[in-house]
Amino acid sequence: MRAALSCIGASALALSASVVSCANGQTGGALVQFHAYARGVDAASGSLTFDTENGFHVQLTSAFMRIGAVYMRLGQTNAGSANSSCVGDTTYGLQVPGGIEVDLLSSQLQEFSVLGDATSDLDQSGELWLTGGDINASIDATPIVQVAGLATKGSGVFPFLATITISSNRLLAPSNPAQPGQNPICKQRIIVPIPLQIQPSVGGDLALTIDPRPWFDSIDFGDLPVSTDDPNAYEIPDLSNGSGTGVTEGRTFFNSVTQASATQYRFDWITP
Amino acid sequence: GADIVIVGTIEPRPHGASDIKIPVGALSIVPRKSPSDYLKLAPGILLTNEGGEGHAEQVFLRGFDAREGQDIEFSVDGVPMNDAGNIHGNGYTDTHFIIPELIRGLRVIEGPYSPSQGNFAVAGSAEYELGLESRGTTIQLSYGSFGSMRALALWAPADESIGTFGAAEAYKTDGYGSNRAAQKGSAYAQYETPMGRGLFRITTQAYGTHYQSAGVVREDDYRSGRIGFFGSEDPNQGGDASRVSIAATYERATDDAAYRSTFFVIRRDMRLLEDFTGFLLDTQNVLDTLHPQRGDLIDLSFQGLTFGGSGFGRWSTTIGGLKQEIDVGYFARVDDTTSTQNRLMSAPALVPYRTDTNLQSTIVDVGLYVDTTLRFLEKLMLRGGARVDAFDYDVNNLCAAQGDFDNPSKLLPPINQPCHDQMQNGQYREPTQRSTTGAVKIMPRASIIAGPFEHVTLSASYGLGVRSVDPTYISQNLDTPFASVTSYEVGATYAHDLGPFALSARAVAFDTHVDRDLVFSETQGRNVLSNGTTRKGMTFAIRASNSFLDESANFTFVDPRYDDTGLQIPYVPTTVFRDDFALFAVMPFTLQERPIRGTLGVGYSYVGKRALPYNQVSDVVSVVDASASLAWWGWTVTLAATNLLDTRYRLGEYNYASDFHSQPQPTLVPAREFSAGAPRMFMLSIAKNLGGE
Repeated sequence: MRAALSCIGASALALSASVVSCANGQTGGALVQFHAYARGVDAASGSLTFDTENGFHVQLTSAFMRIGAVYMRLGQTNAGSANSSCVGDTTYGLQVPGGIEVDLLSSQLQEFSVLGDATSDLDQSGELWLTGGDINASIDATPIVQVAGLATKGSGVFPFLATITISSNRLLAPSNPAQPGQNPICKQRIIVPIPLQIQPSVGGDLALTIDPRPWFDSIDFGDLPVSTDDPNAYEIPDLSNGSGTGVTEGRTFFNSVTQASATQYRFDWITP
Repeated sequence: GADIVIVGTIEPRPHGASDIKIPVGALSIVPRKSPSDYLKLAPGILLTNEGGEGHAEQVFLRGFDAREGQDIEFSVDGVPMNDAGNIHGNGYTDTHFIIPELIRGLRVIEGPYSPSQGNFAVAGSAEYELGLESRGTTIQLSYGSFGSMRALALWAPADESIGTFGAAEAYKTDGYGSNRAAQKGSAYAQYETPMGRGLFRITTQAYGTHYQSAGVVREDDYRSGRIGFFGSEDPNQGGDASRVSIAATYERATDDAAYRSTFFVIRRDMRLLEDFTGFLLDTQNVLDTLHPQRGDLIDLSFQGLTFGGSGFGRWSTTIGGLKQEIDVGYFARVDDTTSTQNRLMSAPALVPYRTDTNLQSTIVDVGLYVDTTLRFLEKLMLRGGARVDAFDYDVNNLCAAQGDFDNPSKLLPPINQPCHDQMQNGQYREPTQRSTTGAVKIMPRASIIAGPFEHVTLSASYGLGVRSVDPTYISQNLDTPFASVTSYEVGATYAHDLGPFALSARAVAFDTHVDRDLVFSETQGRNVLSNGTTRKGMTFAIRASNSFLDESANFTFVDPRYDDTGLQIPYVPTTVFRDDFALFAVMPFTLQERPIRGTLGVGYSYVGKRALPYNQVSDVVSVVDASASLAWWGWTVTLAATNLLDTRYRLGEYNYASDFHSQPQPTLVPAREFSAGAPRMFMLSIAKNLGGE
């Protein structure tokens, strides 16, 4: 009996040792904190010269973009979803919950105002929040995009400037009065879904490269009104709705800026 | 003096090494903040609480996160404590109505090995046994840290049994840190008397509490200095609870038969305000007017009226010179419940803006069991049998139609309606919908017990258990409205009076599988179904006592994992150590020729690092509690300290997404949150006993 009890005791100790060694196992994944940066394209060096798809030769002399926050979601997001909520019920894998004003004519890394946090899961859909404060505020006068430059086509010379704000000027009325929540203003302020494949890892950082050149592909600078601020320049109206000279260009420009294109907004995970 | 009548009750038969009868005895001197704290006398228990003093403790047992009772069947003298149909957690158990001085002992069965264990006995069961050994009338006043005050009155006629008593307490505290004030009152009365050839006992109690709660704090808010360690992200959290019950028991034992029947009526009310996520979950529905994030403060309420009874009959006979026994028992319980959950706008408005849930449910659980003791040899027996539980659900969802749908009526647009009375294309429907279902579950349970051999008893046990499903998951004719657990264990117990002291010890290895586990969802504020899980582990326990000391210690190691991924279940502690120690003696000096009795108690808890989501780990918990008392001529002075070393520790640690506006834009990615463990607290008590020995 004593031998049997000794054997049982030894077995119990061995089993408990194996349980202890396995006990602190993994739950999967990791949490990552990182620096987040934004920049212009490599060709940007204080100015950016390019040709648009509708034949204009453009030289950007000033280009700034205000980004309020960056988020990424696990899995792909359906761009045509009828969900009117801006914060989805899917799982977010990455956030940079603070803003930056990016000089798009500099290819140098410019750091966001806050650190970012992420899980180590694969993110497949990105979001840029274009806001100066509350994403749901009905009125927000923060300039999101400010550009200036010179466009030429044939003998036409068009100094231009443009400012985009996203406020009551972008609000869309609901198509059905029984569905008043159809078009919250936050939807106009979020560029989503930007297709990407980002898997954060410890020690890495996030870089966002913004290419403003496609924004002007569909702009006819000859249809722009004279700027009220600078009579020597033409201005892309800061409007999406209404009628009048240049409103179509204003709506086109806004739609181009807010297009969820991986070409215009490229994310890279930088590892040392 | 007067004769003391001692009437015993029918002792349950142990089912293996994990069936533990714990007399509190001298260890009552060790400071315990609530009746749930007594569970720590059993191996492998960790208690946490992020919900405030009136909120039920979250219990971890042998790798199970039993939340506030979902996986442990709780009862007090045969009266159930689990709330069936509580929307915060099906099986929610608030033990605060029990006045701690009335707790004589507990029977804890870790695992579903006894046929008498019913619904919620997935990780095991805990039954409190009440009684008052100190007779006479006692009045006790206490004052302590953070404005804590308590008044306690105990009444126990010297010529009645320990099962006859009255007790009442009133308590208030300002609480430590932010938003932890609480008040409560509780009263208990029980009368026990011989009746015919048996024993009759009637018990009634009433309890009410109002409390504030600090909830959880984001780690980054604490690190940045925005919120203090003992602070609160949302000061509007807290709650109320009440319980009133009456129960009657009759039991009788003869040489070859025993009977017991208990009947009970329980009324429970609960309101809970909690906010785990801040400003994250308020989605914009197409059918609602435009709005910002209005806040995630959950206002949850539960009312339940329970009728029921339980009992058994035991017969014994002799076969082959060996005593054989059979218990045939029953359990019946009907719960009529109402559960609602709303979301409130953030302060200062604090008005509901959405209805998440509104259920009226009737839940019936009828169980019957057979539990045999078959002795094959003098030192070899098979104990066990089977239990059958029949569940019936009748759930009326008063807000069944929610969310968006296509083409609503333009004539009667359902704008901002939480519970719709129309559906696609404006077609009318009632906002309510009823679902009913039922099922029967057969649960075999058995233990082979061999010994004692030189004071060592060996056992191997097997059992199937069940946990009824939350009414929110009931759909019409749902096949299996419960989760099932399968558990195995082998163990050894030692018990012997060594002369200088009595020693008992036990060692158990176990394996438990649940087909549909419950995990807490911070976004929904309650438990939600997940995939199957398995837990393997070992427990060791020892208790030594004599005329001047009582020592109890236990270790538990467990490895809990999800079946599909093999990943570890987060939040569950894998190593737990607990030690309770009491010294008591008559002092070598007297006062006015009357003896002075001194008592010293120390309790120590150690919880190893716990796995958190995303491969994170929690801090270690290491806390010492202590108390000392002197008793003289009916007077007792006690000084108790919890967290004597003022250790700063995180009692609960979590990883999930929340947004309390700590950054310029919403924080949507999982982050560390924690609930702070209590700092050092002192309590000085002065008591006077009149008419006792």
